[in-house]
Amino acid sequence: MSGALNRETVRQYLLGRLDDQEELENKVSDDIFLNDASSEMIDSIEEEIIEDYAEGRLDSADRKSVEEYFLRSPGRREKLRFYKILRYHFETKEEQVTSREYVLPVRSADTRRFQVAGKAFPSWGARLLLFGQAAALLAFCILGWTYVSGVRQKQTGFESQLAQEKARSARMATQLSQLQPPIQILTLVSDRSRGAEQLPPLEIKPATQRIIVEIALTGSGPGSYSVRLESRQAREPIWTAKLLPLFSPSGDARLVFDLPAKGLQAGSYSLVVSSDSSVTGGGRYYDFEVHLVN
Amino acid sequence: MSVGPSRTIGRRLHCKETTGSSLRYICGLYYCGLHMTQREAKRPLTPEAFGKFLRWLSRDDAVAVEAYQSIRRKLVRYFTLKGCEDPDELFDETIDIVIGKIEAGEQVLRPIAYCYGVAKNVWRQDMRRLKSVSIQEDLASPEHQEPEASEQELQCLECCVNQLSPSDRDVVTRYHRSQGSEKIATRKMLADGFGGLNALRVKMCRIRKDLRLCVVDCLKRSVEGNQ
Repeated sequence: MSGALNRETVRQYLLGRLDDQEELENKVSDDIFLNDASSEMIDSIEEEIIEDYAEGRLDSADRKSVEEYFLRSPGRREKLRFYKILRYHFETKEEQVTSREYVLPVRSADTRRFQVAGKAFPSWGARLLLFGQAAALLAFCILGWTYVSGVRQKQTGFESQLAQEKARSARMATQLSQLQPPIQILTLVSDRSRGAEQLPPLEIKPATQRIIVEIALTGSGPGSYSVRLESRQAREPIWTAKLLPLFSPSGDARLVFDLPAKGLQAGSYSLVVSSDSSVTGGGRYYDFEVHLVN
Repeated sequence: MSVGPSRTIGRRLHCKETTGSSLRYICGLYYCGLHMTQREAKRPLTPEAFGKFLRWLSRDDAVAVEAYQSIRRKLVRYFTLKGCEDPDELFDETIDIVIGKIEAGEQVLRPIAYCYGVAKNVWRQDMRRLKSVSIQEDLASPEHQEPEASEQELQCLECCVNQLSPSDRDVVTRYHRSQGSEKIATRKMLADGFGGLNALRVKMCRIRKDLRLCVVDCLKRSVEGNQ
């Protein structure tokens, strides 16, 4: 029968189904005994039966044959056991990736089984890895919580300091405004005809509200004067007033009045003073330079 | 017939992997008069009888030993494939019968064929004996019994898997790892790669055999290391 072996015949032979068919059984046995080349194929069919049995793919008749005949051999029982261990090994490795639970009793060296309520514990290595990961996660959580708490505390401190600084700034601004006088004094002696090289400066601070102006008049009479404020940029007067001069005991005349500081920008301005009693109506220009100071 | 100390004669007891909770390694030569596993009731083989058997196989020492080993390998495999519980014991029984025939002066032209014929009768006797014995309890539905593996065995397996060639490791991993419909698809893809399902089965059989032998060797070294 050499060369006539097919997988199904060998399978039936290995399951003991040919034992009652002496002629066929003899032919297969002879072929197996004499033909070493078929051994690999026969081994693979034996493994196939073991695998089908372990995976539960056999029908009831084949399963009965396996249990009552095929597995009488200790070698085959060992192969079955090894197959299950091998399958467990790879499924467990996949389990570590997918984090699913697997069940296989693992017996320790002292024959104690790590099995509780149908669930098996993984091996020491796997348990160590699991505990290590849990410990690392716990440590990470504690460190994270500590860090976040620290950051929050610092943030609260910063916010408190910021509020204090704002309050302090407000207080200082108030104090500063109290320290700065709301008025400035501008004394104008020489008009433009005198040809002054440098215009008298007027510093206006944020707190400045009014400007007290004193203009010394020369050759003036007792009548009233028209005063208007002009800038070089605007054609129209910014401010006008009719004023009476003040006379000192020695007979010197001067105009004293106050201007609103609001609206004045940095630049050159002129106060134009003209006597209402003058026939010509011409005026004298008293120039000054405004500087805005913060 | 002189036999040097370096040559293997006598009956070699197989390096045996036992099932169950422990692994026992019984390796060594069996000489006449030594105790044999589960054979206390049998007549011990004398050195003279075993020497006569070897001489019967061949007048040349080396050829006789080689022929003996070949017969042993084939008969043990025969008994194994027939699902016998203890192929080694049946082989010993076969050789005892053959030696008895030789001592009785029976003329045999083809020793290996004669041994095979005796072995078939031994198997039939064993079958009749087994049919009269009820199935052992521990063999009932082993499909549903979970395998027991020592931690050392799992460590050895891990080590042996890592010793496989990258391609073999990939095949065995993919073959066993997936589940359900994915498993069917994966195995079909692997079978296509190997030129068919049977070729894949042969390949897997080789790999598993390599792994089994590697694990047995690893456990043996582990046991020896602990002693």
